[in-house]
Amino acid sequence: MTTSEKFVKLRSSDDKEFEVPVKIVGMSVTIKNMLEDLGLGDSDESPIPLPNVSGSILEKVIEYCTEHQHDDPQPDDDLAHVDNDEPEGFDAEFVRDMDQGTLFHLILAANFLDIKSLLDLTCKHVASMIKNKGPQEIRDQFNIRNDFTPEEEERVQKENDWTNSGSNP
Amino acid sequence: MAGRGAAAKEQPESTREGTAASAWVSSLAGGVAGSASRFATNPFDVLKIRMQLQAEPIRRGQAAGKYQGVVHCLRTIVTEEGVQALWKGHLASQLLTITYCAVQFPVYETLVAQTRTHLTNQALAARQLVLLDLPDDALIRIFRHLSYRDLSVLAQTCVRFARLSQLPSLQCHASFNNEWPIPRTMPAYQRAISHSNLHATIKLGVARLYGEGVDANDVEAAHWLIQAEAVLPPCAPFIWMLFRPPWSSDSCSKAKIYKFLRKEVDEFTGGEYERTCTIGRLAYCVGRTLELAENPQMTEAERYYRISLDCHCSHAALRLVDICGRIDANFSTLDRMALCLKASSLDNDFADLALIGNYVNRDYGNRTPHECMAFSREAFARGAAPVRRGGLRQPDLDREGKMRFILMDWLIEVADLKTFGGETLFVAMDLVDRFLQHCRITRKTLQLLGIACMVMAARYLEEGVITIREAAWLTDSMYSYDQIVRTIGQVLVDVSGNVIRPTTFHYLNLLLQIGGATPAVFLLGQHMAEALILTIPLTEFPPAKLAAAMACCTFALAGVPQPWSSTMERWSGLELRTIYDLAIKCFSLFRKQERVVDHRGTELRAVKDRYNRQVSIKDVANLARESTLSLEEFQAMLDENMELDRDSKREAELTKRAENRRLAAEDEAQTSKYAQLKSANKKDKNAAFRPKAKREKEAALAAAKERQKQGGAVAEQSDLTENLNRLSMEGAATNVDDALRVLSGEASGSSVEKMTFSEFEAQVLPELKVCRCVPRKELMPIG
Repeated sequence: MTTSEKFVKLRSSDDKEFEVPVKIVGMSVTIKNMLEDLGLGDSDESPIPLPNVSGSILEKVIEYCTEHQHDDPQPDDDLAHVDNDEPEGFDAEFVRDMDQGTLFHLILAANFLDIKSLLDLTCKHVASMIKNKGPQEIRDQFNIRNDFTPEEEERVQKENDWTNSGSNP
Repeated sequence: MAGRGAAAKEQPESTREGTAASAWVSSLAGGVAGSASRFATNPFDVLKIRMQLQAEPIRRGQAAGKYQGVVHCLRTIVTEEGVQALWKGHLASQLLTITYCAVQFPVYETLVAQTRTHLTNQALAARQLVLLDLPDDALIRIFRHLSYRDLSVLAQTCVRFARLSQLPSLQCHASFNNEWPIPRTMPAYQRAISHSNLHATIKLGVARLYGEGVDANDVEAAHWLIQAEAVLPPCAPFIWMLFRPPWSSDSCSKAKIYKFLRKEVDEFTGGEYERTCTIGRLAYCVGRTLELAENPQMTEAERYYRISLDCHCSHAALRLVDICGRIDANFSTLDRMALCLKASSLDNDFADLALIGNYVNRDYGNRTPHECMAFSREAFARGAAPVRRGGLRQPDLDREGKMRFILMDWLIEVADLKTFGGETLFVAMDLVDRFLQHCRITRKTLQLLGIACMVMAARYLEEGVITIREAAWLTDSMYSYDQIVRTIGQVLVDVSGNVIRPTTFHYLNLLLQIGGATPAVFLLGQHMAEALILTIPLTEFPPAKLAAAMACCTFALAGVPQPWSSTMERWSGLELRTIYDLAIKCFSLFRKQERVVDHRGTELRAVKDRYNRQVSIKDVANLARESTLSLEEFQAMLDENMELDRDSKREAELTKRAENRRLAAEDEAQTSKYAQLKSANKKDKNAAFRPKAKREKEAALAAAKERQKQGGAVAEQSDLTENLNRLSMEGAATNVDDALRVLSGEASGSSVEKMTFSEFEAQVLPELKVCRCVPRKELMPIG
């Protein structure tokens, strides 16, 4: 441990402890604010509890943050223009073979820890799993039960009837 | 035992500190609950014991027991011994139960508390989390990445998604990429428009205007276009470019839409803020149309621009600057700057650039030089803010960018053919690059995208336009009219109507002006910029940074000893070290300029041709070619420049006080000048101004001679050059000769400098002044 680099301890919900450099942890706005507001992290040995992030997920989050610690802060994108570029390199690898459970856990964790780029990456990946499919395909993929009453289903289908025609670029 | 479960549920989530306190509470609760349940169940206990203890017949013939069953036993006890008998031994058993429960409950609670988190996490981890487990806000974040079509499919899967997909925030921003309004998809468009979906509104407007996919309908087209202007994020109004003249006749659909708009503006009498803003944008559109009409009606246009400006449309101010400069003889620099200031206060980037152009000329308006520089640095900082890089991969286009090179080369040819200026070219290329960042495109449709962007840029910036039929013809009829219309709609949607934004071109011109470039150097800079953007996508670097790097290379090639002068650093706030790498990259790219050939083996050389063909700027091409500056030398030059900066900073530290005093004096002079100007009426203004300017000039000349005596450093020389530059711009031509004499004494042997000055005087001065206030105006006359 170099003297110039400070570390903080994080404790996951299943009581695993992680020692992480402040710079990496700082990517999480939640933790960054916590450190700034409470003045923690100087010589404080007590770990920061993260009651809704489990150890295996926290490990993934730290892996992601370590890879991206040197990124320039991305400009805030306005809500109007959601870019739909695909992840490349590490990011693509990171989400490629991830099972749905882990992916959703990561979304929750990124949301809680407020790591925007990770949240974008994971959300975009889930969205790409929804794209260009039919209703039944989506239900099958995500284990969704069709809970419409027959009348409701008919109405909804009629409303979105146009999706059955092919797209016309 | 029923009480136990309830008590466990009521138990709050125990924390480490809370465990001790809650142990007592649960102990007490356990005792009370146990006592109550004991009281209620004691009769059954008595029954059980009595029946267990009586002698039972185990062989036939033996006497039967006293009690013959539960009911009989109960009845017998009550009749023989009374009701109380059912609670016999109650006290002892109460003691048993109370102590038992009082111990059991806290032990149970503690154990549960310790294992609960562990257990639930295990359970959650063991159970696969599914999409429906996510909270609504997370789902909305996911759905934001879906197109309108995907969203509509999703709505058919289950009740919760059907509800979420109807949320206004999703309906409003869902994209309509790869969709064009046709009768079948109309309901979707209408639903999206009812949620102010910009994509749907623009596309339907364009479709109705051109009758593409759906029937043409002027009234509806006008309606949707107005609506698009109303929901647009803050950028320049754009719908006018769709219906602007030239018109085939006064009764064509474009003219009808214009009349509709004009009526809308004329009938407006006042309303709430948002409505007022919309009217402001519409009035701007009317103004533009009037300006571009076959018989331009400038006064009418001015009237509409005034209305527009009153309705908070900042872009109208810039148009006012342009046309008032042409039609109003009394229109002064101060008026011009007042308009720019107003636009700038409404966050108009172009107004900022125009103002800086004035400031560099020492027209400080009501600001002090200090404030002006700070203002300029802020504007440049915005232009140099990091951009979103990367974007969509284009697997169908090659990675080396050769396809893009070919497209850009062709676009330059088109611009040359139509005699379009550099700005149009840059705006078109900026549109192409922005589109490539977001939407997938194939090799086959790349040229379609290029021509559509060029059509848009030309409609926006040029007097003459490319009609859509002409555009189709330019591509050897490879693409149809329909395809071009749809692509225009798609691009408009993709950039959210923000067609024009400050590009590298605008920043470069400003930087060259700050650096005191001569007309030849200006042209060299533009030549360099056009050659470089063939290989550098405009979205790759922040525009101001790229422009700074280009300016640096330009000055180096032009033989200026210090390519990034301290003046440029002061005005732009960009330090050399931040653009060092980019400048080296630009220089080597420009030097290399390898031969690129297309599939037929013909060399692509539109940029070279563009600059070789024109006699007036042949010198420029020669200048660039003759300059033998190698990459290594350029690098050494930059290093030296950085060294100089460091030295001068040390020196500046020493002379800071003197400098401050000088600036304060200048500020004061400025303030008094402004006050004087303000008080004097327009006719006297120039008279009051001239002697003052003359005095300043003489003082500056004296100072220059003083410095010359001391034998200044190179840095000072360039500073001097800039000073003289400004002086010569400021006043009448009489003093320029003096200035030139001093300059030639100072910079002896520099033929470039000598040539520059006279040329500068003769050619560019009048033009420059116009350019400075209207970034749109093209500096270089082509063809």
